[in-house]
Amino acid sequence: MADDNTAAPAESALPASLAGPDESARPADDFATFYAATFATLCGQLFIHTGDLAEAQDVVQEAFTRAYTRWGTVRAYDDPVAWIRKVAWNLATSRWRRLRRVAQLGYADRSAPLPGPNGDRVDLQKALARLPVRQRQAVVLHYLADLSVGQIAALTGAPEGTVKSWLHRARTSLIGQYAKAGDVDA
Amino acid sequence: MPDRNDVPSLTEDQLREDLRRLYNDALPHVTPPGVDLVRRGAHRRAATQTAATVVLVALMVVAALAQPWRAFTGGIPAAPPTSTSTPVPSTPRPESTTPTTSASPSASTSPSAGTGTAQPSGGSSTGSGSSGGGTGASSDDCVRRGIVDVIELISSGYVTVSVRASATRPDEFGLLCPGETVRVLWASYTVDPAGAQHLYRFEERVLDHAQPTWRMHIDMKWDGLCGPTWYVSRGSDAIPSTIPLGESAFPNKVHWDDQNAKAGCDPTPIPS
Repeated sequence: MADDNTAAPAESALPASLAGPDESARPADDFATFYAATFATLCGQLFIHTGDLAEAQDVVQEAFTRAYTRWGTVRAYDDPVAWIRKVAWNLATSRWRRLRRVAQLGYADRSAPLPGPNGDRVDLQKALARLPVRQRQAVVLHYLADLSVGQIAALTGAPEGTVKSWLHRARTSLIGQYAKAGDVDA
Repeated sequence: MPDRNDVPSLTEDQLREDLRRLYNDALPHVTPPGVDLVRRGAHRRAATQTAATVVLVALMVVAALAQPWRAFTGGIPAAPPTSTSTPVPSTPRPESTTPTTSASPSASTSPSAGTGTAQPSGGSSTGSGSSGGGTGASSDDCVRRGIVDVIELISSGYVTVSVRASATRPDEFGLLCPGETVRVLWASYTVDPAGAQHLYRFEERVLDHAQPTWRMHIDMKWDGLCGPTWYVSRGSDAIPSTIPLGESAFPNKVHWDDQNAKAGCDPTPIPS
């Protein structure tokens, strides 16, 4: 197992029974607890990546559906969250899935900003949206899910040096765009 | 503890804080559909798989029964497939060809990419030969469509893709007819700093009525900091040895990832 679940706050707050197999718990109850404890966290991370809350919920729900069909195996992993996270991210970055969703929706760019005016939030969302997919993924996993470079490398299949490069370039790009936004504001 | 790089800590902390704020703003709007929907989705998925399997078996039985009947009545028998499955594995490994519609991505660390060292040397198939979308004689009542679907995608270092000639909705698209063949291939490329793609590995097969599914493992390699590209395609597409920056290949591709070549790859090492 590549990842660990010491990362995001809600994930680290998982019941101890979810850290590994627990034969005393009923699988169905186990799954419901796991779902309740992790869905929102994963969904929030995917939302930052996709910029689309409905899409984020969709992929996370699909990931949980796949986990449910093999819950007996997944729950025995050291870190079931890592499994769900990996499936959800794979779904979110699947070109095939994106194309299918675009076809379903009928248009390509579907951003769903949250209600309420907030200039900083909009600036950050725009800046993130301009990042290449892999850089954006690295930023979210590193700064939000608190995964290390090594963990991101394991999740994406990229060398660690490449992940560092993604993070470096993403930060540079984001800082530059922040600066521009600041200039405009000023 | 996450690694830290060389950006001033204030900026990094600010970025972390802003992301966290954005995330916290989103959380109240997250409405988990619920475990019941998960269960229903899982049951629907299982039912779909079962139905597809039943339809496939039923069609195979019908096809098997139709053959002697046609011979007896003087009807036109279905011609044999124009060619048989011809895998060209650059790195031989056991392949599962059973229709596996359930995703089972391993959560463990994937095999490291780039185990190979050279472009395929035995590349005998470069797009010529086998038939493209749906050719060959078949029984009269079978509609040949030659559709290729990606029915499963697992991406993790290696990419595992299952393709199925015909579709996930057999009631709408029908299955491959007896004698109908569809050539399917994958090819992976390394990307150089200028963004040109160089063939690393490829494999192709001909799917037919008896074997309409291929679960393929796309073997790829990182070239320094430049990530790989890969394509899954069908029909008579050629497999170019090099794809220059800005040019596209595989007009019949059904699934691909060419993002690493889109704007060239800057392999500049970052400061430690």
